[in-house]
Amino acid sequence: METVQKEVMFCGLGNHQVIIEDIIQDLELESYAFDIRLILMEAVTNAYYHGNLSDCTKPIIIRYLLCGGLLNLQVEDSGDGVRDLQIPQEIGDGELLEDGGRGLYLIRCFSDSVEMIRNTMFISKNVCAH
Amino acid sequence: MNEITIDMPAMFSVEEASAFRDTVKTYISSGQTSFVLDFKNCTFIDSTGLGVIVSLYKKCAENGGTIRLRSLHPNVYKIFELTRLTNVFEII
Repeated sequence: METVQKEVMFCGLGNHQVIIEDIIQDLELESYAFDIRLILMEAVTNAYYHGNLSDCTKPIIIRYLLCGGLLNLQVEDSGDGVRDLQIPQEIGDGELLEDGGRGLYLIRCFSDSVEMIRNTMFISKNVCAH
Repeated sequence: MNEITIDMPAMFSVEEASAFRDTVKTYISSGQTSFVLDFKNCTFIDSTGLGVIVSLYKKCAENGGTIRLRSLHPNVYKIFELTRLTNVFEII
């Protein structure tokens, strides 16, 4: 598996789906396409709404490193990094019909580790070539 | 009142969810409260899409209606299952 290390910066949500599809293509991990698409869509949406407070002029940066069967993703927003972000372990009975609150939980489900440090979400996922 | 069937888009995320919400709200404001969402063409959904469906489901249920889901792609079903929404929606 070839090492890939790149960084993409963009603003707002107008073009993020295309950018994410380009990253998936660049990584050549077709069998993990759904998982990577979901992780990045959730992380970018979180960065835009909660980090950048829906300001479409503020940048979001995606960094991705694929090396030795481990995919490391970073999604950095332009916020002050002081928000207390809790990543849920489960969806409780009382939260089933909440309008929101599922995005970070889904990132956890589809990755091996996820952590928010200041204004950057660090995600890792084991992948193997097919 | 008859059930309205709505074909879901291939990607059901931020932009598509917004358009979908507007469409269903228009139906609800005209008195229609029961829907079948047909996912046969939908291969991706995220938490934004789920949130919109749940929000509209609550509005329908408040008015005696419901939302049922049809033809879920395995990956889309997995998202509903992980978030335990398979316990909420009837899947046909």
